[in-house]
Amino acid sequence: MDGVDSTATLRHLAELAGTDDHARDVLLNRVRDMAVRYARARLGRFGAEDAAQDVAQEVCMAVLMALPAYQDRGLPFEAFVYTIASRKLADAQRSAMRSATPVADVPDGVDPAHGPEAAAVLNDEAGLAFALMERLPAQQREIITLRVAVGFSTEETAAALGMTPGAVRVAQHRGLTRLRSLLGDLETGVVA
Amino acid sequence: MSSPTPLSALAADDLLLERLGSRADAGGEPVAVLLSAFARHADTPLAGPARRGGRGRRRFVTVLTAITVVASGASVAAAVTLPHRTSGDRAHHGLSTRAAFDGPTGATRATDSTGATGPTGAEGLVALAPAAGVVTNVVSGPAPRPTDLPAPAPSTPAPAKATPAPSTSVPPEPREQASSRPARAMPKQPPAVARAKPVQATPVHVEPATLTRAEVNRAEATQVQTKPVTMERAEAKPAKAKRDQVKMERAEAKPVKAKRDQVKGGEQEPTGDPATAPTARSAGSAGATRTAPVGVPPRR
Repeated sequence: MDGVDSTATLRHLAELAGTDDHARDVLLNRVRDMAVRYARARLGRFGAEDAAQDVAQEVCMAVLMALPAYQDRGLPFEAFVYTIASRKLADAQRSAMRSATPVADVPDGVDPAHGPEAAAVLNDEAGLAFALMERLPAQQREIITLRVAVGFSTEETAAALGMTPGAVRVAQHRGLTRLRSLLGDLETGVVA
Repeated sequence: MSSPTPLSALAADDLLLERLGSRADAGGEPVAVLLSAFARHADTPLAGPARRGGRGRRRFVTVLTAITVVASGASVAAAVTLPHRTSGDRAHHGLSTRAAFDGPTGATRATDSTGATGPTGAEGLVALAPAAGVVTNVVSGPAPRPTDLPAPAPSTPAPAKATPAPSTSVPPEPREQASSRPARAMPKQPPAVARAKPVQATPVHVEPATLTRAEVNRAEATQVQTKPVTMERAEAKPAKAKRDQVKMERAEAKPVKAKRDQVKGGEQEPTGDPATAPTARSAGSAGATRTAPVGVPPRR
């Protein structure tokens, strides 16, 4: 507990999780943040927060169950979490398409969300970002999502997607170039 | 083939994404602003569906509104409220108008028995007896006064083909016009004529010249029994009116049988149909004047 640093990598926390409960809690907190961001980024503006939270919960449960059998093979632990999160998210999307999402009865309280004007601007910008990213190839869109939304580094993204860091850098550069081109066309009125 | 990517551009984009991933300031570039909004969206809880409580309140208000509307009866009133003049009213008015008009209908024209015609304003049932050739109106209106009714004159047979009354000059109007016109606009005959017309006595043609005095008396007695059915009797006892009708038919058939018997007996028999024979009788007394039928020389 005392030897756990807040800046420790997930791999190190995973090694200590079997014997240190605090390291396990810190690991799960960071895994949960990653999973929630990734789920929010993947679900888009029309996704429900409850679905993202459910995905994060499922990812945490899967990581917790897999920790005793986890073996360090030199890959980032983030790649392992990403693999679990992407699959859980795919299951959640399939379930959401098949049935309605159950909603808990949330008690009244202070809403920490943005105000109406800020939410409108944010949704407008986020909607534009989602609309433009839909035009990107799936690999470039996934790289930008992991790097911007989840906060992965180049190495972590490359490990998660099974690519080399150089390939990730080239792919993200092409993705950003494509986004700049789409934005230029949008300003000139070519893109609706 | 794609051109080689400069390393400076790759490094610049990598640095930009690192700033965006760490939620640092990425500058004012459009792509940086766009991706910053994307990063904030990932950090912000998504806008989920409405709360269940709100939906429950809305549902409660909806159900309460529906119950209020049903309890007030506004929907029922709106459903049963009819306009001032509907097709049903027009149909009912047309039926009433046609019932008041007792002109010759299709049935009476087919049987050539137009005894009573013209609008009388009397509503009731028209009994048609083709065998007797008489149309009897069983009027359900007010009872006629005794002065309005014709005196029972058995010796004054009504012609089989009654001359149409002056009111028959009013042709039956088309249905649309009759139904659209109010009942008060229909021309009406005087009440006396209107009430006297429907009550028609069955004509009993007796050949006094060929019958004995006893037969004449019997025929007169029969004629007295078959006095016309008044409106009061018809209204009060329709069954009795029907019995009278049967009696009238029997009384009409008796002279024919008597004639047949006379022919068999070698006596002087009348010729011609008693219904169509031009028997002239005085209007007052029954059987007072005996006229020989046409084609038969008078006895000397």
